[in-house]
Amino acid sequence: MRHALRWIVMAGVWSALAGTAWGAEAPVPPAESSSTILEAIAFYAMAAVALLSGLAILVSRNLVRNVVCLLAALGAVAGLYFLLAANLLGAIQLIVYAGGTLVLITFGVMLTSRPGSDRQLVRGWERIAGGVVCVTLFIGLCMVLLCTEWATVAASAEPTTVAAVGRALLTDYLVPFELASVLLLVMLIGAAYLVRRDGESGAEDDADRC
Amino acid sequence: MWTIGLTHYLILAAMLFCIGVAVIVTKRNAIGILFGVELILNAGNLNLVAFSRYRGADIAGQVVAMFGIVLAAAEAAIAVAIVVNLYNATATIDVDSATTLRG
Repeated sequence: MRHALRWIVMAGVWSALAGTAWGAEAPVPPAESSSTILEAIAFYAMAAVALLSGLAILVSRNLVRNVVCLLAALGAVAGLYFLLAANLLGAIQLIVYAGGTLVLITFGVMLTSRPGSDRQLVRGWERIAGGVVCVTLFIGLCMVLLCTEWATVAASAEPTTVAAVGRALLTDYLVPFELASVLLLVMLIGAAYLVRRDGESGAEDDADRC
Repeated sequence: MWTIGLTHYLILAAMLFCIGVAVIVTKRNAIGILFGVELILNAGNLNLVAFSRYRGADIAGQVVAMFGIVLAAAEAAIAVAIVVNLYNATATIDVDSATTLRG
């Protein structure tokens, strides 16, 4: 069982990386039959990796294994971004998410895990109720999605350039852009403040400052 | 089946979203809940990028998805800080046992 899970996770990681590389090399085939089938194969492969990694996160109780599964899921989503002709966003997903956020979460796991002491999942009937809620939610979402007439335009063949995204960021979306930088600064200060360590007098200090 | 359209991506994102919700409701571990939040944010970003592509290469979806990634990074940093704080205060990160706000 353990070895099987390990092999599944390894296969997920490698197929995500391979799918990402493939998607980066051959983005957005125009409407021809063979490249359409290739795009479909890439889509289904990366969708399968993302969904299987998500399900592995759902059932696995080992947090480190969960981190590796999340890495595979993020890599697969980055591959889907490449397939959707959003090259810059795929690269950002790999750098920021898979490179930065995941390392942060790994540190969180390492700092807070005690082996074998905590129960990871809720009780049995709560698990079943959660599953029923999620399946119902999915069925409802699918009914809405399939019943809606989406006004799609034929997808253009060329990928979005970095220059276009940068121009949009600095013209139309300048205010959210600056707000994001302020948010990152606030997040940095807040995180450093939250995890500061000043012994037993922390509570009194908090009361004084408030 | 072999022509990938907007609906394929939307259904995949719906699946990812529902898996994320299931992870959030079934985990007792605070870090485990964070995994579910990351899955949900990825599903939302995937929706945005898919709409951006299939509505005539409108760049707005990609820009908003980029802001989503920034928000997710900030959220993860704050969440990990809070979880480490919770662990320092109560020696556990079981969310069912964290019933008081003042540690």
